[in-house]
Amino acid sequence: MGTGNDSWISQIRKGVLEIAVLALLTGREMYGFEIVASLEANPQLAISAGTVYPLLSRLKKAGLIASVWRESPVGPPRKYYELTDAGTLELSEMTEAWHAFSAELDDLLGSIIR
Amino acid sequence: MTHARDTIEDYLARLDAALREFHERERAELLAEVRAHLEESALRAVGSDAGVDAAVRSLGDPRELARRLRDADEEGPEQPAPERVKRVLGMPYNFKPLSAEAVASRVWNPADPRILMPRVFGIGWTLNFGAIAVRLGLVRPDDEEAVPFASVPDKALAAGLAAVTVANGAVVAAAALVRASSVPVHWGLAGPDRFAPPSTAAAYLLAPVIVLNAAALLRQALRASRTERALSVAGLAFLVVMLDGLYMDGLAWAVTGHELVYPGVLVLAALVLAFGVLVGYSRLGVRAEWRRARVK
Repeated sequence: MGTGNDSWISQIRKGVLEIAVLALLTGREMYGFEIVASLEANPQLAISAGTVYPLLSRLKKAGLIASVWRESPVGPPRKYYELTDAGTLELSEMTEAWHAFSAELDDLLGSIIR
Repeated sequence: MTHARDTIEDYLARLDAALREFHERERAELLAEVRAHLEESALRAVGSDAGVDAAVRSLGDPRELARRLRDADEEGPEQPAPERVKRVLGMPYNFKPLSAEAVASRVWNPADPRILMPRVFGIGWTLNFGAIAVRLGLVRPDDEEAVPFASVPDKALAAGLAAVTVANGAVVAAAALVRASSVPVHWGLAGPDRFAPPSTAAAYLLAPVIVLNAAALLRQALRASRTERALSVAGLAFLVVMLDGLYMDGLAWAVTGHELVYPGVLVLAALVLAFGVLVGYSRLGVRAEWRRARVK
């Protein structure tokens, strides 16, 4: 894969990172390490901790997620994140947009022999 | 585990240094979170340093991480997109202070095919003279540079301003010389239906033009951007025809009993003149652009 392709892929990854994190937090709260580990488990997303924490900070500033620190007697304290109402709404709008987007692109790509 | 401990402390010390610009509380919070992350990774890989090393790699260079955290702070999505058009009752509006370039993007934007553009300031729409010129075949949509009128020769701008200033001056002189007890300021279908003393009419019709003319002269003197000067000449040409014209019409009616032209015609004439000025400047700018390109 050429450098042009690499940068294209990384642009796409950057674009979907937000929706990936919001989706991960749907219906449950998670702490930073857990979020990073879950995302790292998806090799195509190729997301690093160095990208996730700034993103979490941005999403929190935007009011899409909220956080709370929890002490633990057996390990380091954990900062848990959860979706806010605004975050839930944003995610459903993004999901809708994503489906529409990917359906159209699939249509376009459908005729190409793999 | 001491290597892991050292790695964590070393990373945090470097991150701490890189986070200097942050507020104390925010910095402490970010450090605590990264510390928790690293300690968690140490905990998961008991007896091995690989976990912490991988976590440090995944976090990346502390300075880079600090930069990203700072960027996240600054360009959060909470800022509304600048291009989003706000609407009230379906009508676009905008009351933000504007730049000449912003004005030009609406009133002279040949690249945009829309003739009615959301208004640059206030409520409603504005005419995109650029789109009209393209439809009339006077300019091509992609002739101009990104900043319209940026290459118009200074002489042409000065000449345009001189012309409207002279016209405005002539009207002001006429207003000072011709005596009338009252002049019409409003026309209905059957002719003038509202009258005012000449001084009132002058205050409403002539004063704004004089003020804006002075502002345009000041812009010229201060060498404001060519875009700004070109727009102010076109705007002034419009007002001179429209408001000065209306005043002269009233004056003519008061003296002779007939207006010079029907006021509706003035609106049209003012629009056509402003349009002509914009088209002329655009073509002069493009020509200067070509000449420069050929010389290179």
